[in-house]
Amino acid sequence: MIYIVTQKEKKIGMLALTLIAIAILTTTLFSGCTEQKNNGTTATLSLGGSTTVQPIADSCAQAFMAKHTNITVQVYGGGSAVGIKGVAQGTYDIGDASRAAKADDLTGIQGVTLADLVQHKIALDGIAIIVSKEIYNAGVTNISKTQLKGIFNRTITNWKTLGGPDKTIFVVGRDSSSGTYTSINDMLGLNKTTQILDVAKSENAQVKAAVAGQDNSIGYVGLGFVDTNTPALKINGIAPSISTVTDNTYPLSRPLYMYTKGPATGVEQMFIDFVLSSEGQAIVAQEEFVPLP
Amino acid sequence: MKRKTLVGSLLKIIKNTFRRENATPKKILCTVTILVSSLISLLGFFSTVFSFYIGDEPVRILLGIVAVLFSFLLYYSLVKAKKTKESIGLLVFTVFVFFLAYALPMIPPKYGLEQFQMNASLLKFMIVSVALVIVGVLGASFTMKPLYNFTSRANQASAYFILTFALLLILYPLAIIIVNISINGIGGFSIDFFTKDVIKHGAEGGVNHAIIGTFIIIFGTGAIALTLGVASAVYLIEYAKTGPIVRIIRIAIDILQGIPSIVFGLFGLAVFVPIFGISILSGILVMGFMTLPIVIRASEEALLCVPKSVREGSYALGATKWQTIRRVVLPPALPGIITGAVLGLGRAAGETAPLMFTAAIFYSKIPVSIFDPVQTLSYHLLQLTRWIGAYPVDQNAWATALLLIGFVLGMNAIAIIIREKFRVEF
Amino acid sequence: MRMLLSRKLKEAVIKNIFFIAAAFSVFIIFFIFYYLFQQAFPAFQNQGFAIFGTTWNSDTGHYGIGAAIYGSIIVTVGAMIIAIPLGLAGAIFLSELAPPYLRTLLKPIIELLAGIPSIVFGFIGIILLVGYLHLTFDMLSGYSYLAGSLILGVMAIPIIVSMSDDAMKAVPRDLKEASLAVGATQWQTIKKVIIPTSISGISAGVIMGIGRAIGETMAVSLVLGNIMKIPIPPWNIFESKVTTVTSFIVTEMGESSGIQTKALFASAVILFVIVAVMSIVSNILKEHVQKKFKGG
Repeated sequence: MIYIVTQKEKKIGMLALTLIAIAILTTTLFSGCTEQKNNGTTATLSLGGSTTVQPIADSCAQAFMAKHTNITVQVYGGGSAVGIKGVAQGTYDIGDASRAAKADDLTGIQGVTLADLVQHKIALDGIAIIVSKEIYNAGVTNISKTQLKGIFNRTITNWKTLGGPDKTIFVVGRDSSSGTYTSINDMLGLNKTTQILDVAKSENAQVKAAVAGQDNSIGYVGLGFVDTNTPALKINGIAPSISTVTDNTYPLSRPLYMYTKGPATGVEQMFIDFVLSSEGQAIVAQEEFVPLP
Repeated sequence: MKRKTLVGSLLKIIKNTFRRENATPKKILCTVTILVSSLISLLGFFSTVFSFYIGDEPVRILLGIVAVLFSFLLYYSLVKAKKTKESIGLLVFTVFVFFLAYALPMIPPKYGLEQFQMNASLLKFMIVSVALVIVGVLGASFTMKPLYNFTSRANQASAYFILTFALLLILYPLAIIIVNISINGIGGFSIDFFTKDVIKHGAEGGVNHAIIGTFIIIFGTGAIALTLGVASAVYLIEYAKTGPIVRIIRIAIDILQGIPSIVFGLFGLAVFVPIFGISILSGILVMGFMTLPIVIRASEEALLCVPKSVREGSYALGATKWQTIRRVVLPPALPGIITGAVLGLGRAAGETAPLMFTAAIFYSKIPVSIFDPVQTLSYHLLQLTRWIGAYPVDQNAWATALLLIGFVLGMNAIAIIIREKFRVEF
Repeated sequence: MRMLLSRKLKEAVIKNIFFIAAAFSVFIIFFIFYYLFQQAFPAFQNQGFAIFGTTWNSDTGHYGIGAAIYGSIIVTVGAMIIAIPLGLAGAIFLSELAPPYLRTLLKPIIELLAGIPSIVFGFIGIILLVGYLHLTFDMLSGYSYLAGSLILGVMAIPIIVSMSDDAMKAVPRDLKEASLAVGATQWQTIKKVIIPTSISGISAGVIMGIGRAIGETMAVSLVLGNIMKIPIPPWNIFESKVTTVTSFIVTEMGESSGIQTKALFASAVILFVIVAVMSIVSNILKEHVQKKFKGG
């Protein structure tokens, strides 16, 4: 059987092709139109970096976009180091960081020095030391800073040393681009070799997931990531909370930052103002971090 | 046609056993032994899966029964059939089972592996269950020997028994995956799930944007892969003469097929993202290249199905090569090409790694141009998976997994329907 | 005359368009290798052969991915220990044992296993497998080589079944019948005639399975701990502080920079080369099969 396209089929085929082409053209043109319709300008704002700041940035972005429908805000993670580098290189408009930027964050980036980055403090945080709820329920609810250091540098390896069950401690932490990772090192007097982890996760939520998923774990996350599944230990008797972080009695408190290259302008300014406004700070509290006093 | 399945053979054995003249004690004994052994191995298997221990006494009793049965078999083969040499295996096995019946329940509850510097232990139930499975399978295999009078038929029956068991082992993980995802996922299907976008880190809301994004990626990938792929196949089948160039092209296509998806992702990150940013365009370029070999293969096969005579007839009527391809060869090959393409796109729908670095994002508006990033079902599932335990995303994760599998299955089904309905027979 | 010339021209142009399309695949391969290598080169330069070493410490500037390569090998070996026997058994069952109705039922089911997206395997791994292993083997954590091998093994099985089944079905009937005619049982025929004849096809399937296991990313990265270390002892499949090349690229890519990123690209290049070589070998084996049966 020889399959020869009849005239009718040819016509149908051409018709179909034309329709599809028109559909494609209209959608692409039309999408250009909608952009123009909205006040004639569309702007995109990109934020990236700390996964501690990320939930705040995400929720603020959604609220901000609801107010300004012609602005698109995209939030990425990656860790504080990525955020600082990213804003310096122009990959992100705003770099989120859960620690202060240092000079060697910018090694390899030409033409940008630490002085070029403008720091905006947007919230406070207390690094919470979370444990599996089985451990917490077994009585391990308080720990000293020295014991904490011992857990991370492996001088303490079993929960029974701390009054808990006879189980090996499974230590969950972050990778080296994380601001929280660096903060823990700074606060406990450790470094990349002495902070020994069993697993290194790339964001707060995954640390929490790892600790929640086992019955023998400890990990560190931002304050907003604590809940009954992963309760936080008191450090030297002080529990992490909005009040203990605000008055700095919680030993592992720290500020959260957004960095811009040069002073914030235009949409960047609008967004940072939003985060610092009462609405933005209410969102900070909603995400269970600590609003600026 | 002889049925060689386990069930078939078992039924045959049982049927034969109950035929008066065939119901020798030996046959009954063997049948019983096989049944008991199979049951024991199934029991062991299920206790591994559901993590329970049937208890010291039951283990002893079961193994004891097997040992006794095998003693009888031993008696038969040594004394009655006088096959001393072949019975050595049976003897060893019987002794082994007696030993296990005595020793297994006495194992301590936990055998720590710390002495091997491994932070794990072998739990009693696991050891016992595995032992039961092994005893069961070996027992049934060994029973074949006296049953078939130690001929090579016996070896065959043993081998077939083990093969059937292996098949069950293969089907088992598939069953777990499908059953679990279906049961847990269906609860997450709701109107909201399909119509709403991501809310609260994916714990609430739905995958509406992800569904749209997945479709966008599929269409874009299809456009690129089909254009390049069909053209390549046309060249390879219609124009190419065998030679070094064609060989190199084929090798390149094979290598392309084998490249891991993450290498494509990095390639996109290195080449397309600096130019186009994280965007649909970067994504479909990378996915298009990844799907290309599958489409080429399918198109080649479809074109090969068109017989030479049809082409020659066309040339005989004075048509040029291009006219022949366009009007005579391609149209009947089209269903096969589309089938292959749809199958390839079904696989592409499930891919995560290439899009992670080039196009995907978790929160976004519906993309309005090809320079916007997209959500996809696969990337959505990835993020939800990473957050299990951190946010209450479990229900949505199961539902997304179910949707994803359903999607891929659906595309496979469409491909098969296209193939069956539009197939042109020559 | 003019009509003929322009028509010939048109034909030639069209032929060349198609040629370029086909040759594009070759270009893509080269592009991929070139751009990846371009990104990776600084790492190779900076590290030299230490890139295959096992020290990974961004403070001291060591970026040795040896531990990841070791991890990939271990996990793949484990996966193959599971996949090859089961896959081969499945293929034998499918091609020789199963009656037609069972075969038409089972083949699509096994294809179904092949079609499940890898992220779904990773999801199942985390939500079902890791917890199960943690309890069943009293492990420190379910994230381990063991989990990785189990998942990859299951993923590789359908590939081996599929290709071995094709290979065994392609064995000419006369060979099988000749064997049966001299009195061999079917199993003896399988053992001594069918499998040796189809061994190239089976090997090609195994190699493809290995390729899949080595290149698999999502499924394995979710069930490992992702720390660049070789466990002590090296064969400790219960160890969670491990990684493979693919997992490491995925987890680190989002948050690395400088030489570290280049080192990740270098891992991708190494991966690419390994897979390319395996693909070529598999190809040669398949050609060998073709030749064998064309001659017979």
